[in-house]
Amino acid sequence: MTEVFSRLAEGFGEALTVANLIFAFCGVFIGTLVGVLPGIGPVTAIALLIPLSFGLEPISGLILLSGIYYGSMYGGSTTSILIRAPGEVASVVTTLDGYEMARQGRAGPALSTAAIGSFVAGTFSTLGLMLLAPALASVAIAFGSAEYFLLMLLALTMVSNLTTGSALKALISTLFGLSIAMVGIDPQTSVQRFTFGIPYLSDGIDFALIAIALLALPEAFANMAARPGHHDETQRIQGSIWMTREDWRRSLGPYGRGSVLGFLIGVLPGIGPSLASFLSYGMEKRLSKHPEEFGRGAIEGVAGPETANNAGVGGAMVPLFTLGIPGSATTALLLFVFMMYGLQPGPQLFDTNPQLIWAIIASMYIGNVMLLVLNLPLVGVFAQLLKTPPAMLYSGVIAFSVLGAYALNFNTFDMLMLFGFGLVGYVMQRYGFPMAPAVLALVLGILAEQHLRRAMSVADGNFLTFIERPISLALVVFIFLVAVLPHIVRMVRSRRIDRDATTGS
Amino acid sequence: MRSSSEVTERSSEGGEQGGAPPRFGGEAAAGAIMLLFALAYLLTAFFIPESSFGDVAVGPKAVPVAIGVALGIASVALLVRGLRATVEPPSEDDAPPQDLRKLAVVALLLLGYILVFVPLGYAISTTLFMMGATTYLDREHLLRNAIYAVVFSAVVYSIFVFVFGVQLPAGILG
Repeated sequence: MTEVFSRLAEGFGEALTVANLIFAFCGVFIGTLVGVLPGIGPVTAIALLIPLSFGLEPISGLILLSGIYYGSMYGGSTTSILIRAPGEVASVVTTLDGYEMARQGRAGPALSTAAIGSFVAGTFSTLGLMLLAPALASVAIAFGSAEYFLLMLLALTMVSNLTTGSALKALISTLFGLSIAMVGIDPQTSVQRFTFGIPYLSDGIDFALIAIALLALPEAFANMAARPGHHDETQRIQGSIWMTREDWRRSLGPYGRGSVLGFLIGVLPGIGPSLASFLSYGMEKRLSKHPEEFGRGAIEGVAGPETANNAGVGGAMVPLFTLGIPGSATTALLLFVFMMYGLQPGPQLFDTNPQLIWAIIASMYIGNVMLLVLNLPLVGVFAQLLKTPPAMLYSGVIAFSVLGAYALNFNTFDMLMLFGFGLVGYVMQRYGFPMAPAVLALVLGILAEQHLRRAMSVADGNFLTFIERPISLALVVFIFLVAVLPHIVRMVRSRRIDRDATTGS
Repeated sequence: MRSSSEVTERSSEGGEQGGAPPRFGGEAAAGAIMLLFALAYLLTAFFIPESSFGDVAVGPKAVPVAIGVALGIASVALLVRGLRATVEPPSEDDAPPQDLRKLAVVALLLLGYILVFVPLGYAISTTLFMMGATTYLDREHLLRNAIYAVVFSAVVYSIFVFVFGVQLPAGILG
């Protein structure tokens, strides 16, 4: 325990240098902006800024990009509350009661409780990360390729199963991402795969390129090609932004529960902050003494989900730092950034590069304070951003995407691939395929394949290696329970309903 | 009817996913397209040469083939589900209906931008693209669009080149 604090003190020493304070501030500021702007999420922003971070020190670059991640969770609530357009998927549920509160002239308290809840959660989950990560890292030293493969498989099946839409479409999206991941020279045998003799493809398709193409471009296309339609009225911030004593009393419970729930869900692979906010809303509604107020402006319906999605960020950093396994599209990008700097996240990182990890953790405490100070008084200013005409906003997004693609390898071929995959992503989105699973699969695909093959060659091609070791056996059982069993149950149940329907008619 | 409830859930994801309901013929078409992709992928995967090292437990071909097969099966499942659904899922209002002509023009502008990016240089090509795209979508604010386009490319160019030291093509200005 004392070691944790001495490490943390060193981390603060690193994070409190003027340069790193500026990077943390830029990170949370950009994060708030992208959180506010509809259609641009943390993944897009981080993907677009990867070329910028090439030139930075690893510590500064990672402080900047992590700041964007947790900062965006703050900003997402603003649009949910004021125009009923969530800036982030994780803020979708906040629209239910947040917009309703704003319509009743209580936009101020709604925004305040979201900001304060976010601060509580950000601080709590950083604390959780700090205490849990070293412990998990010391366990993870014992993991072999079989365990790593299964953990990645778990993340992939979870992301297919637990996204909020059609599980089948999420599965197809995951497999699509995996199929793209296979492009390039196989690192184990140097065999060319899916390169069609094109030299640009032999190193594989750049992950950041695909992330930009599948996430940023479709959003820009869809908004620029939108027919003018109905918009929800923008609510003004009127009256005091401060919460009343009653608001505080009703918010404290959701802060505590949301922090714990969000953190725990964030730690699980494959589930991001979005599910945390949905679950928190459901939980608050069930626990409430007046559930009928939910959907009509209950402050708990804002405080809980906004706390939970911020706590999810700290949680999501745990598997990233300790195992090097990202659980979501955003952490997948952060993993890519680590690797770009020549760092391999995982249990060894705590020994080989502790100052980096602890500086990031320290910067998260600092960034959360900055966000609170930045957001409470300036929320009105950020809300003005919503008036940016879509044509200007999205042509800027496209220009940034092209720049990001160019700056990866400085060639036109990458930009043309960006164009092609952007159109593919657009069509897939129109058909209702979620894109985040494809992005996660893209990063995990190649890692998972390498671990699978390494595990198999260690075991001389014997598949039983996955159930002979206790940890891997536990993982196999867990994957079966969360990913396979629910489908069987559902199939059996719908069969039965079909049969009842036919006999009934 | 299961699919309609799923579409409703999907639409609640709004922000990142665009809340897109099926528009171009629904799930059957989506399944058919993905199936074609899976078959082409699988065909290519079968031609991956086996490892020259010989004794690896799992070769370079196995995982791509497995992915292709799984994608094929999942696509067929989607195709079948789409064909069996008697009622098209109701479309949701929060996904903006698309004007395909606008999409085509924006896509062509982007393609043109990419092609002149290196020859003309970052500053000029970006200004032209921003001018073109904003003016096509919003003809009433010519001056504002022009100022925005120039300021945007100048600021971004300066930040990348002078602050971060990323080399951007100077093109005919260089």
